[in-house]
Amino acid sequence: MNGQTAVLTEIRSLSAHDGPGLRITLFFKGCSLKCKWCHNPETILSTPELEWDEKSCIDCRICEANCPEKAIAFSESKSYIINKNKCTVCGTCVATCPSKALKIAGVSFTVNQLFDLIHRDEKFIKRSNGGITFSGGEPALGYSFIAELAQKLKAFDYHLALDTCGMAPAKAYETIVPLMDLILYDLKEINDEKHRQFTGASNELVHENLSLILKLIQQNNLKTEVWIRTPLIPAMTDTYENIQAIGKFLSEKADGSVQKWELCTFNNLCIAKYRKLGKEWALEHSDLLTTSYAAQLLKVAKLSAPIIPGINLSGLTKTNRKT
Amino acid sequence: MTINICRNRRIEKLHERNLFLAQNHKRDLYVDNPEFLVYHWSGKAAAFSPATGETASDASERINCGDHNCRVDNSNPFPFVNGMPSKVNGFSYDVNNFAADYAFFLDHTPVIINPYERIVGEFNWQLDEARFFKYPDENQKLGLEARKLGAGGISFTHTSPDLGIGLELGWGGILNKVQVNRVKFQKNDNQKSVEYLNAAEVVCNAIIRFIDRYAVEADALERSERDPELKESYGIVARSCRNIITQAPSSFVEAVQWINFFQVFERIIGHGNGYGRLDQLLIGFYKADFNKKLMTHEYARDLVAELYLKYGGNYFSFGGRNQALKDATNEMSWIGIEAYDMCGGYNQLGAMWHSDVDKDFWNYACDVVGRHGCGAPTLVNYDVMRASELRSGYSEEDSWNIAYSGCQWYCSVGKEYNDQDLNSLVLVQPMQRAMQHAADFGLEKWDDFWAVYCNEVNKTADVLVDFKNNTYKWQHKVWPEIVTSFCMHGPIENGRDVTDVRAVANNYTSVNVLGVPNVVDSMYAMKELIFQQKKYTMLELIGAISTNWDKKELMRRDFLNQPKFGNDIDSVDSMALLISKQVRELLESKHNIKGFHFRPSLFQFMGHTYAGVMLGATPDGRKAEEPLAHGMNPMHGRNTEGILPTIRSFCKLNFTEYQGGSFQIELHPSFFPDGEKRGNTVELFATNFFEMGGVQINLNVVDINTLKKAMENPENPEYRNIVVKVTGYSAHFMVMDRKFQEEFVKRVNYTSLIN
Repeated sequence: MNGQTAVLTEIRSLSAHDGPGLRITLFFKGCSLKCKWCHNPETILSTPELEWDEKSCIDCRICEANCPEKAIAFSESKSYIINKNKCTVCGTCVATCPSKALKIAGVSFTVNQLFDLIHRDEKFIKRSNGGITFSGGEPALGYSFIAELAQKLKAFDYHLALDTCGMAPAKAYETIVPLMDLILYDLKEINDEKHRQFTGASNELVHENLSLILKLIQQNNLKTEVWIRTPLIPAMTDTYENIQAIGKFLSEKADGSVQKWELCTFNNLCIAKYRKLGKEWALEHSDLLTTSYAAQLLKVAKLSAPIIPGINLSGLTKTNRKT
Repeated sequence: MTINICRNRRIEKLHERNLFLAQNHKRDLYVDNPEFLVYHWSGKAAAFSPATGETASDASERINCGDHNCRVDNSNPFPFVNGMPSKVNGFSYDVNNFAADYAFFLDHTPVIINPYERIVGEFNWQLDEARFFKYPDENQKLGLEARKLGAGGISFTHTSPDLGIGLELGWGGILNKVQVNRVKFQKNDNQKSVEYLNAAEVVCNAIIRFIDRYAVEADALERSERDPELKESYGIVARSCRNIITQAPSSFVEAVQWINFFQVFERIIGHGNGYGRLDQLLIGFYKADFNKKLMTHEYARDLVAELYLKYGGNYFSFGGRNQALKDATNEMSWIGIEAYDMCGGYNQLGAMWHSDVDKDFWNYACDVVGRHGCGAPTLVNYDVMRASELRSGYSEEDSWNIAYSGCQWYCSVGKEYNDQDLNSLVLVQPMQRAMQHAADFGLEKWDDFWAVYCNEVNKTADVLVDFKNNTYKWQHKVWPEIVTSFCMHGPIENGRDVTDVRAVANNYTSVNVLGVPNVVDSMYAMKELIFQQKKYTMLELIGAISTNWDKKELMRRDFLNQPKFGNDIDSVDSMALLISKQVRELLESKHNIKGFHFRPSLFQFMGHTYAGVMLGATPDGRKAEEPLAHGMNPMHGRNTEGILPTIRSFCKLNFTEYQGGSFQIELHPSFFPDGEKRGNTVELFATNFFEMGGVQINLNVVDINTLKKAMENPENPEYRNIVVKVTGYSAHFMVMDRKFQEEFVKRVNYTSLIN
């Protein structure tokens, strides 16, 4: 078991947004869905990828000259082209880039390495009543790694949270849910056809797994809380029908462990990430939700799922229009 | 605990006036030139730049540090300048020459009582605008020698008197103390001390006359005023002034009035001491009045707020420990911070954390910093400050009563005179000389280069020691600090001015070391690329930086991409420990003529802003036009891994071994989680930082993009109220020098604890 490794794109120290208090959020690479709005596109593939930051690039083309696979080329307009079929992500270009414009997304860690990184911030985390959140990508895909790390952290009484889209094998949840204090569970779209269209997969398993998690909590007398999260994506998931239907679904399914339902408003801050990966993003030009519309959706949610004690909006920014 | 404090109508009026003064350049503080900021000596004035008078710099040349002055500008020069005794009878190097000027100056300083005030006393001119004074030429020569090698400094009123002495004795008691001691020295035929105490008597009598004039004026105003509210205020002023002309204050309002007057008498000679622990100074007065039902918590808060508004730059501190080393927090600590909470904006108060501090008080102080967002109160670590004083050699008795006393420095109240924050050692310069030496002699080994570097730092330290020692020989004859001496333990008893040798118990000279992180990053990059990889020669490097890396961008990137201090990377952080230890041990091996060693401070006032162009590009990949790092903070933008790695790097230094080293941090408002009390986040951060050994936090909550917009639209009134903690001091952003603004907006604006 000691040899287990996992690929992470980021270890975010003291994040205030993924559970109570200040948390360390671990972003595991590899996801079982392909949501059109994905905010962490670098976590979709399970293997490391090369990122190029146009703003930092000084067009010296040292990478082009040094690439052993001849996988890098520049077009006339300083735009960097990488042939992903040829690139082996060997890192030669990253090491020789004088402006740090190249980076590999995805670094391999052992359980002990991650534990040591987390544990040195123990005081910060515990003083804020925070904890550790496993996120991604879909962290539950690497459940045996997470189980080992979680056991180690539990020995030091850390509050643990799993941020999951619900698309992982039942075995994954059976293994790790008993170790968690909180499950952040995504319900994105209730209409299965739309769900397939938006995320590339049916929501059947997502619904089954939520039932499974609630059952696991009940049967094992766990104190684990469940917080549902729904991304409000313009012209996709942000309809009254969808929110109402998710609310109804929750009213039927939820028991006392479902404590919160968070409506996460769309933002476009991740566009830079797509550019770095050389990927297009369909939602680049989507409008932000207006604050008043978001407030109406919140009202709909509250009316449709009165059983859930805490329903709130998150992620509204100054740029969301006031009207 | 949520405290909701509103300004009443009276305080609102006083607040408005204070804002008006700040925003309309009535409180500006100037320095002569960029050299003053970098070397802490302009080559001209022996202090900050006088605003008017014959030693004042031209308006086009001087630099505006922002609204950081006690003086209230009235746009005119001192009208009685030609009557100054030293102008009439000539300037001479003796204490009575100074005393005669001081007395004349104070006698001709107008009485100013503004409507609604219950605490009075302010001034329009400083003594250095009227009195000509100059150190002998030999001193000037030594100063210029020191500058060539990268050092400088002035000696001028940067300590913390113990106002407890004056509050107990009153001016009559102080006068009596002067006279009694004079008899002692007369008996022993100690003419020098008799002369000194004669001068002290002249100054003390001038002070007594000054307060008397305030009492008379307030009396007259009370009698002629019809408005009952104003009449009441004038009456209060008249009575408290009348009662403290010679007697010690006997009530809370008199004590606050006494403190404000003392600040006037001191600050009128120039810029600026700290005034100790206000909560300890006032708690006795407060309790006595409170028990007699003469005072309420709320009224005490109003009066302290008024004290702050009279001069919004009071260096008072709160919290800390008492003599038994138990938590010293009391009701006045709360009142002191609440009074700031009521006024907000520009001020310089310190909240002193220690491991046993009252948790609610500490959380409140942190919440005030988080809400007001401009670094007040400054959060400091009492335990580290005290430990560093003990390590220097202070007695237990002298070290417990320590106070955050200036921008980034601290003092044993009433027991030391140290030139804190007034001496500079520009560490980049010895490094540059060592580089030239390495090129000239073809040094190929790092160890050899390191030896040359150490030798060059030593040369710089030696010239600084010579310059300082010469200044110390003359200071008490050129510009004695008699008012400060009244509230120090020693000077009157010893018949010597506080600036003289053997006047107070502690005289360690502190030196701000400028550019440590740049030297660390540079030395590391040179060690790696020149001495180990041998990728470049020293000659190539000197060529590249002498042209500001012109056509050497790839080479610059190579130096820039070497690991940098501030990212928790042990290899380069070890260099930080080595560099800081070297300069510390070196300074500690040097002594001043007062018999005390030198010691390093790892902070800077504003020298880092102008030093860049003056010193040119550096081997850390920095271009000439970029500022240097501020104090021991990582170079702007080089700490790319977030706050926690930065703190880990920073706290690898043991701050008990240094005389201060503030951590500067600019948090974006979105840093704070929605709906969460800001104080909780600030407290979490600050408490951990102090437990890791940090000594001071200068914290701003600011959106740097707003500041950039403000710089583009300086006329837009929307931006006039923005106050920032510049380094150790706060100022209105729009009032200060452009270069300071430029440096500020280059700082890392943390939106979360991660980046």
